[in-house]
Amino acid sequence: MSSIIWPLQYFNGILTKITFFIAMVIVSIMVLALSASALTRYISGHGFDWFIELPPALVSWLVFPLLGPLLKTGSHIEVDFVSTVMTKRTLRFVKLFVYFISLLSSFIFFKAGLDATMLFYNLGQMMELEIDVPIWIMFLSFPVGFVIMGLFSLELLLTTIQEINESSIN
Amino acid sequence: MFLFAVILSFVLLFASVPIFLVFGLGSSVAAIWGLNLPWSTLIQMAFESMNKHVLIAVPLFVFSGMVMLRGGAANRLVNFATSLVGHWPGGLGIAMVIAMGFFAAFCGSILAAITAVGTIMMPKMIEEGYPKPFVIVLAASAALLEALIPPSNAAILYSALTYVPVSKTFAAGVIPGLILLLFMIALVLFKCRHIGRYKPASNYEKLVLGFKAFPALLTPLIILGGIYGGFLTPSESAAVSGIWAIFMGFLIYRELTFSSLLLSIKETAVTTAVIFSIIAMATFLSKVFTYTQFPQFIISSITEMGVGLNFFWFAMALICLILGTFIEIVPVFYLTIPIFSAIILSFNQSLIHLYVVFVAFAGIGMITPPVCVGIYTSASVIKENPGNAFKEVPLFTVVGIIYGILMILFPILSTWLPSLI
Repeated sequence: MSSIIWPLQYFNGILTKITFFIAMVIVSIMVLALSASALTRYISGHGFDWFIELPPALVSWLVFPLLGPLLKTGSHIEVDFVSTVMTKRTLRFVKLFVYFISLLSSFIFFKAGLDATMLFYNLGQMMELEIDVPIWIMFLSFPVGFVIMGLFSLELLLTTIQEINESSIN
Repeated sequence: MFLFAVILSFVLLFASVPIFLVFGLGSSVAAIWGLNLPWSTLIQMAFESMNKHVLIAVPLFVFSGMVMLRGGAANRLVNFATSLVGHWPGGLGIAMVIAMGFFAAFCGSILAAITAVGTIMMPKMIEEGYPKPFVIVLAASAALLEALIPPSNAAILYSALTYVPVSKTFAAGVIPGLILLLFMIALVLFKCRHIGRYKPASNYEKLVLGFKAFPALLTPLIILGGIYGGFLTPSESAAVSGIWAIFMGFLIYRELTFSSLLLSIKETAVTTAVIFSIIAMATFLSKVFTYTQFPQFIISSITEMGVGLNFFWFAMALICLILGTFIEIVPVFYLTIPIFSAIILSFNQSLIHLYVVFVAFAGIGMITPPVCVGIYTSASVIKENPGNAFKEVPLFTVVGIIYGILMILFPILSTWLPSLI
């Protein structure tokens, strides 16, 4: 089992660094673009659409790729009720269920997102920006994000199975 | 199929599946298999809801708060507030509440406010003999202040959902926010009246500390002045406040470092992803509501039963309290506001009034166990077991409910200021 988990953990570690780097660049662009929008409008009397329209268009590339890394760190909002009423052993099985659901939903949403992206790719629709950017680029973040989440769910699922096996041997 | 979707959602919710997946899976079952909607429509709607321009203000206010947390602004505010009221009975507690109120006025993050002010004030208060559980819950109650005093992320999310202009929801929170501040001060005065007082600060000391806190105190002026003066959109004002926070941290207070700036950006990214993933997936649910005409069904049921406005407020308060106990405020917004707003409009009531009452009751849930992120955060600041603080929760809950009832009875408190804009 560990021969599968280790490479997956290593690969997910690299993915975490990449996704956080992208997210941090996007946050910085948001701050700078909207400040520049206000500044240019104040100085020149008219703003640039790019500065205003770019941050919302980038949000999806900030949000979806981070879903997986945040699942691993337990940062997502959840009803943390069971941990207070269950034993450690039962809790491991609940976690197993949660990671299985995450893996399953990653697959469902990846497939759905890919179909939607292909649809918008074929339609050739453009974003409402000054420079033409195909809208499918924004939608692509959805399947990409859920592939990443699938990889993290798989890692967490396998790690939990390993923990359960180890505890039953002991 | 709809019943299955509801049962599935509850099972996933109580199994601690992340809420964005609960929204996504539960609503997808109803939308795809119950209503035969195509995935592309759902995903397109999710993107549209996330890409609303006004919502960009949420991560930017969080960023601003994170930078101020590390840039030294909180320290100056606390010192200034302590010099003003530290010599009163329960002075340190009152100073913490006032500093929280100030900090909430220029930061969009509840947790940043608790950490920033709590880290400085909570150890001091405990040293002076304030009961630990009381200190923890008092700091955690900042959650409610942040949700009301502008700029508030709750107001931005509410505006995005109901299309009420942000300038109006911001204005709606001012008077209720100040009243809540007074409620908290009264609570501290009552509970901590016997605890030792600080030596009164001289006028010169007050002046010096006020001067040091002045750049931080300018921030709400930049944010709200920019919006109400018509110079800035809410998102731009959030971005400008972020730049101002960086400027203050690097050049005025000189406490911000490059690595702490990067950490602030990283934490902003995390908070944004957590909130926006819920927004995206909750759109699936609102689509199901639209197609099934569920809000209309609730309204017609209410009309048929002859239920009045008072019963609605009572039911809403109860639902908010219960949901707020188990779920954080953002998912509660997306789960209930589409229905509550439709009902309140059918009663010819103001959506702005609904915002304040809703926040008042859902906010109480932020301090009630088991899901009380505010208490967990403030307890972690002083490395105390959060469970030890729960005995103080009933007192704050009762005060919160009284406050909520006051907000229901006097709609003018929330609607007067927005009517002037």
